[in-house]
Amino acid sequence: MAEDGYFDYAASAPPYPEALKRFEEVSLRQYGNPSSSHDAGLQARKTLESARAAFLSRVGFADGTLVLTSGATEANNLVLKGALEKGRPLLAADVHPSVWFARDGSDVLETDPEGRISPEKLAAAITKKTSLVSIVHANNETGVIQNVKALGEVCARKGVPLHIDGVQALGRLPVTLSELPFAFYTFSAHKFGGPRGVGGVIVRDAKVSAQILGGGQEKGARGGTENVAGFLAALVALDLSTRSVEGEVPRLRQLGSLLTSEIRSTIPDAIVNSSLEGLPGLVSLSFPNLIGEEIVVEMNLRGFAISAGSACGSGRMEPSRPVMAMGRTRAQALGTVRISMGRFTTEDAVRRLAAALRQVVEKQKALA
Amino acid sequence: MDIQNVGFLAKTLTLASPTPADLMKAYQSLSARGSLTITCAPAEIGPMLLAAENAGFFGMRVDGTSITAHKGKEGPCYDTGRSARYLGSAAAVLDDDNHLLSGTLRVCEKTGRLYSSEAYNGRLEVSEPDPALLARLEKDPAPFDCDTFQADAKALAESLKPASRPEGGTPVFYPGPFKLLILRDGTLLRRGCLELLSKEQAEELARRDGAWVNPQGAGAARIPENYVDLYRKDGAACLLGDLSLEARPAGKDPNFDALDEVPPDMKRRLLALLDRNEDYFILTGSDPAQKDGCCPSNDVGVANRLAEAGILDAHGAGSNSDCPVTLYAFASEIRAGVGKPRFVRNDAFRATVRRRFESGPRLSRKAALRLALLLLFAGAVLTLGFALFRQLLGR
Repeated sequence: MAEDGYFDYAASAPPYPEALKRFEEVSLRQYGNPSSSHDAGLQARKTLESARAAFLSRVGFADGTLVLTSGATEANNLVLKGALEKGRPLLAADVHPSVWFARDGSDVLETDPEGRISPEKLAAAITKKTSLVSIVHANNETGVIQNVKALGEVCARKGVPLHIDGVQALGRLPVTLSELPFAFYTFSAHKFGGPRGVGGVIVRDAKVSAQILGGGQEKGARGGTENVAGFLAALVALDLSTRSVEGEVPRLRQLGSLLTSEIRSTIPDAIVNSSLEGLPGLVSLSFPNLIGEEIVVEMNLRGFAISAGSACGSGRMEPSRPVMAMGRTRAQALGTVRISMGRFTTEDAVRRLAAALRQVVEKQKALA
Repeated sequence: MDIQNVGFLAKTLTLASPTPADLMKAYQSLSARGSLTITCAPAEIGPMLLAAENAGFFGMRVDGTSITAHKGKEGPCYDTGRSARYLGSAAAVLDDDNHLLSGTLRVCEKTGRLYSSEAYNGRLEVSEPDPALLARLEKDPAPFDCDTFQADAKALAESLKPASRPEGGTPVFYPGPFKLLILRDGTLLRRGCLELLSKEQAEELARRDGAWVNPQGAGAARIPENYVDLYRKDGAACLLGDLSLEARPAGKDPNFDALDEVPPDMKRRLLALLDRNEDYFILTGSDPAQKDGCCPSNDVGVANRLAEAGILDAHGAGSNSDCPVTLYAFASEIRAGVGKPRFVRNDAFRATVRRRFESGPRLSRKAALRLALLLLFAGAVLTLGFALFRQLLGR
């Protein structure tokens, strides 16, 4: 697949070579265990802690606490499992499966047809039993960006901690965490060009309930030797991606707009779930009566990497939950695909993708 | 199997029109650097080359109606400072171990030895090993990183200059030993296939690469594909699949009677495949006949019955979904190798399918036999009844 045929940045972004170089350097030179009391260990600890401070400073929240994990799934689990121990979390209907696992012991907060959560509805949904509110900063399937500040203020007023899943937002949107009234903010490095296997939760005035025990690392919040090299590489990637945000946001919005208008003009019955105000470069489309996964396979054969929202569950294809939460029918939501762009995406590639998608949809309709 | 034994494993073997399974067995029966001679009909050359590639042989060369194939590409890669230079007219060549040679390539000792063998005689210039590195082979071999394929494929795609193709052309057959030649305009010339090239290209290939120009009785030539187009679509993986452009024979005799029983939805789908001249269709889900299959789909069941009847070919789409996603094409049209599947249309087969749909259901052999037996039985009953009736009247 040609590099510019990759349209799945929301799944994983290509790593920055500078980040991988840093990973190699730290792996080779600072291999001491940061929990050890000899020079090599002390040096690794010093490196890790200064990187932690730099990371928090880069996201505009120098006073926070950062618990490192193996990625956002673990970070979300860490937050939600703790909340389940304390009461009933309130989950937005469009949360990631790594949060939705807590559905059975939780309440659900529906989104409106645009995928947004209104502060009024949130205020009404919070009960005395609510132990946590969990929302997504920028949705990974529809690109909808929530007004996290307003939602956070509601939670603060009600005295309920707020968890923001910031996986798609950090490094891709201008984010200053000091301005957001959250208790937990989770992230994953490989979404912004860092290595896989590095993530974490940024904590404000709250505590996480450790789920991985033994070792006492991360001040008892998460056992296991810290991935020093991975985290330093993540810091380099965060630095590079946040510095590019100013230029990339308008460029990717323009490419998203181009793709949306091309699809609207050539496939009139396509439903556009994403909006131009959403996550830059993320376009979610539903093609009624088609199967998203089949479109993905067809596009892959034509050299384009995109994603489908549907998945198999309970022995049948289940449509995308965030798309269903926007009021789509099952037949519409099953035909959902996500196209997400990033730093290597070109206008030429977007035009080629639009042409290929039109061919694929026409073919799928004829052969359905 | 004609085996000339050397110890327990054969050094050379000769097989006449072997099956793919015979070739696999032959490969296992040969010594580490043994060779095989295959004799076959001209029409079998393409499938034989493909089967030999799949069995693991390298350096196949076609000579008349025989093919020579060699064993020996297994083993670790150690550096002895060797390099190889391709001497022909193409921009690059791909060997049977996926080395892409464009000019001079550093190679490991194992590949250096293969390239120095009879198989590549006259086509490559191979440097001698460095004595110091060679001496280390026994006790302290120097590892060799031969994983340059992706980078070589990219550099090659960027260096080529595709040109517009003239109408018509000269039929050219490339007999080997390389799997593939990539010409300077990106044209792909595959071993064992007949391609239409410009007269200048044909003459140059005949002179420097041993290609056959205007071969007698070689069948219809095809317009070759272009590497630059394929690379743009699939990246380096485009070189890793089965690049054969010739239709392979179907694996079994198709039972076209199966088409008479397909539900209207599948019939409409197959007709759309024919009308739109598409290569394949995709279905999601498992065969309901499969116990505990994920997302059972009646359409998948119908398509699988057609595959069993030799009408369709099925190929897993390599999706990460829990539910199987399967590509279906008409029988023998899917080429599945390491890379993405490719498709070669079998127009005669498609025409038969269309005729079958247009002419409506026919009586199957089984049904015809049943009807004949029924008629025979009815005739016998009537005759007997008539005879009894006459006998009664006679009384």
